[in-house]
Order: sequence, then C-alpha cells, then structure tokens
Amino acid sequence: MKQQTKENISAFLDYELQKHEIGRTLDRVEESDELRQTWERYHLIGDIMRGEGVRISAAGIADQVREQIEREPAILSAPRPAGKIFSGQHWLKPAAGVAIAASVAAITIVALPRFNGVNPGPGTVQLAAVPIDRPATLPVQLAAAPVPIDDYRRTRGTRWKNLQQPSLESKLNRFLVDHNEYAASGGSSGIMPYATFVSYDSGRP
Amino acid sequence: MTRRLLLPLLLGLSLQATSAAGEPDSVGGWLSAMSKAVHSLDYEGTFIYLHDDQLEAMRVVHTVDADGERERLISLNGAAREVVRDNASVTCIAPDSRSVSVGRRIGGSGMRAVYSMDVDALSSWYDFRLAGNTRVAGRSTQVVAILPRDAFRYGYRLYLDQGNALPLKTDLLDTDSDDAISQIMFTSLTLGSDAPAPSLVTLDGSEHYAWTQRLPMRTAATGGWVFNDLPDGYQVTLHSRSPVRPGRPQIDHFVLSDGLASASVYIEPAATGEGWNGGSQMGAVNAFGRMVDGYQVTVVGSVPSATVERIARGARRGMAQ
Repeated sequence: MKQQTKENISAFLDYELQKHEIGRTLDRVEESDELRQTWERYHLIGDIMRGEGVRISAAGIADQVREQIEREPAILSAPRPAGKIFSGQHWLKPAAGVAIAASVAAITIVALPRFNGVNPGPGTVQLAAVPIDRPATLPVQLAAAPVPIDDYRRTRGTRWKNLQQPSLESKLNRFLVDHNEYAASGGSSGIMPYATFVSYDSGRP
Repeated sequence: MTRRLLLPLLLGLSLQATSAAGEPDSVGGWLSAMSKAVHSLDYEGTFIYLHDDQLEAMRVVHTVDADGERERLISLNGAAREVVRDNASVTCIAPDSRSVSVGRRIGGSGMRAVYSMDVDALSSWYDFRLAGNTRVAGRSTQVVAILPRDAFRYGYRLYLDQGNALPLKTDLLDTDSDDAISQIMFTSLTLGSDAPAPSLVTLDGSEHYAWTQRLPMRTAATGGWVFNDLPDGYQVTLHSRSPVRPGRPQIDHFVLSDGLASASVYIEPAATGEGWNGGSQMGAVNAFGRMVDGYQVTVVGSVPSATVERIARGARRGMAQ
C-alpha cells in the first residue's frame, strides 16, 4: 500500500495522477510520517533535476511547516470542495497573509504549481493566492514558481527557455535524464550530460 | 542485475586500455582509446564547466572494480549537488547528505555502444581531423576535431591525454562555426589507485524514484510510428515502451542517432486539453513538442534546434504493428 502511495505521489507531482486518486493519496500523506518524508524527497528530486536553488538546510521541513501553520491564526475560510481534492486544509492557511517563516514560503512555492495543475473544481480554495504574501526578502525564484514568462526567458544555462508550464519543464527534465542514459554512452564524454544537472546556476540562490 | 553483463566487458577493456602503451596513429584509434579510457580507468579530477555565461567547478571520481563502473560528480561551487552513477542507478545527492536514488540505469547494450563508434561510417556526416597538440592540466594532449558537415549536429573538439587518451578538455561546437557552446576542462587529474574511492557517501538506494523504477521493454517494432524526412544520417536505433501502470500513460520512446549525436522521441497520449507545440532550449540541449493525432510527441536531445524540430515534424502514425 505504501509503495503504491509513493508511486501515486510521484505521479501526482508529475501531473500524471488520475483525479480520483488525488484525494486519497493526499489523505495518506497527511497520516503518515514516512509518506510525508517521501513527499519531501520527491519534491527535492524534482528541484535537483530542474537545477533549482534547493534550500533544504532543515530536515523535516513539512513537519516544521505544519507546526508553524498550526500556530498561525486561520483567517482564510474556504468551503470544502465537494470532490475533497485537498483534505489537509490547514496546509493552506498561509494564504491568510500572516507573516510566515521563510522556510514555509519556500515549501509553499515549491508545492504551489503542482496543485495548480490539479485544476480543482468550483468552490475550491484559491491556492494561487499563496505566494503573494511571501516575504519580500526571500530570494528564492524556483522554476515552479508562478513568475511571468519573461523571467523564464531571462534564465540561462540550466533552465528550459520559453516554457510557461512548470509541469512541462519537469517532464522535459525527466525525458532528458532518460535520454542521457541512452545517449551518454554514444557521445564523446560521459561527463558532459550530467554536468548540467550538477551545475549550479549562479543567478539563483 | 544489470551488472552481470558489464563486469566481464569492463575487466576486458581495462586490460586492453592499460596494455595499450603506444599512441594511436589515427583519429579512429584515438577515439576508440578515449572511449575505453573514460569507462575503464580509475581517475579523480577537478574540472571547470563553462556554458552560456556561467563558469562552474566540479570534481569527478571514477572507479572500476568487481561491481563495475562507479562515478561521482560533485559541484564545488554553489549548492553541494552530486550525481552518483553506477551500473545500476543514477543518484542525486542533496546538500544535507540525504540521498535520493532517481533512476535505474539501462544496462547492457547501452554501454557497449561506446566501443563501437564507427569513424568510417560517421565520416559521411562529420569531418574527423587530428588537430595538433597542446597542453591541458599540465599534460600533453592530442587534439581531435569532429566537425559537422551540416546544420543538424554539433561538433566536438577533444583534447586527449597523450598518455591515456582521457579527454582533458571537451569543447562542444556550434554547427556552423568554431565557437564552443560549452566546454569542460580538467584543471587537475589523478590516475590509478591514487584516486580515492567514490564510496565515501552512504547511499540510501532502497527508494527509487518511480518514473524509471522499471526498465522499459525494448521492442523491435516501431509501435505504429514512422519518422519521415529525417535529417541525413539519423535513424531509429532503439524503441522501447514503458510498462503500463495505473494512472500513468504508456510512453513510446525512440532513440534516433547518426552514430554520434542522438535525440529521443517520446510519444504519449495527450491529456485532454493540453499539448505542447513549440521549441525550448537548455544550454546545448534542444526540445520540440508537437501534437499528432491526439498524441504528444516530444523530441529531446543535445542536437541543434533544427534537428529536434525536423524530427518532430516528421513523426506520423504509420502502419499498425
């Protein structure tokens, strides 16, 4: 069961989980420490594969986020979606606009676009409101963040250009890693294909 | 599991490489020696990687033992990212040393392809030249130029160690000029048993990222797809189909190669209302997406943008298999 849920998490982050599986998968993640760690790791993998500025100095960030959020007053009150797409509503409380820790904002930004891709039905919480209130001092611009397209065009080197969809960027990275497994052996150097993934974009934190 | 095929192969090559004391006298000889050296020697070194306007330093540790090849690539500036490769998996390691295994390698024939670079056949698409000698990382090198004859592939300039044929510097060249798109250059290199083992990191390899957890099935059939009007020299060299899994689309994967450059074509049923038509680029890697008969066709590879676009535009639903 857990292995299946892990596969579902992976599929969910890749936009490939069937809608009817989403609610149940998120419920299980909420109930299990192990699955929450898996959730974090899969986000981390995605960040690394996209060559993003990963900030994971704190282990167990999801738990910290939960604790932090639970200390915050809940201002936003949204009707529970009929389809129960997202059951852990206390995760959404940062949308209230209260001051939140940088780590909270970071994980929020990472998580946000994937939820956007779920295309929730009417009555669902407006997740897009989340990053508006992130602290101005936070120097994080992750690939998955909902930044204007111009920001994508300005990025160089370790990012895909001209893409508006984080899910597409993620998919292209997956394809590229897979392709490199076939291509690295035929090319002139075993190092070149992977240097891209290890490389660090100096333009980002 | 995939190691069983590689071990005898690598041991055999290791012997060949170390016993080949004399310098190769042809481009083919040099490239063959390079391919063997990269995969069969123990080495540890620091190199710089220049791409776009970014300059980065990385360290690589490569060892070959009874378990096969093992390579660790570590970024030295910025976040301490790492990629560890062995015959079984590719692993990314995050800055706090928690490790995550992201994929299982394609074993067997994929690795063997290294040793069969056919300079004579490739000469139709590339001009191979020995281009003098120079010094890199304090060592003498033979420069080998591989220049594309058209705009559908990149070129290479390789600076091969005269002692062991390792590529101490690699320039990836644009299609129509001598300009390097990206460069990798060693600044220091230690060979042989002096190179530290890459197993300094304890890997938690038990949890594989799901998307490559199962090896795809290699199939000889083309899955009902044909590729028309391919750039000269490119042909389908591999077709595989991902296993069917709940909630995930089945993806057909084709590798198209001219023998040196290669691109992959991924074809999946398009999700409702979605679709990507257009191109994108990351460094020297180009991608092009196109919707064909309700399928999303995505071409990715370290080839020029004209190549991925031409391949994508030629993809058709052909005869059913």
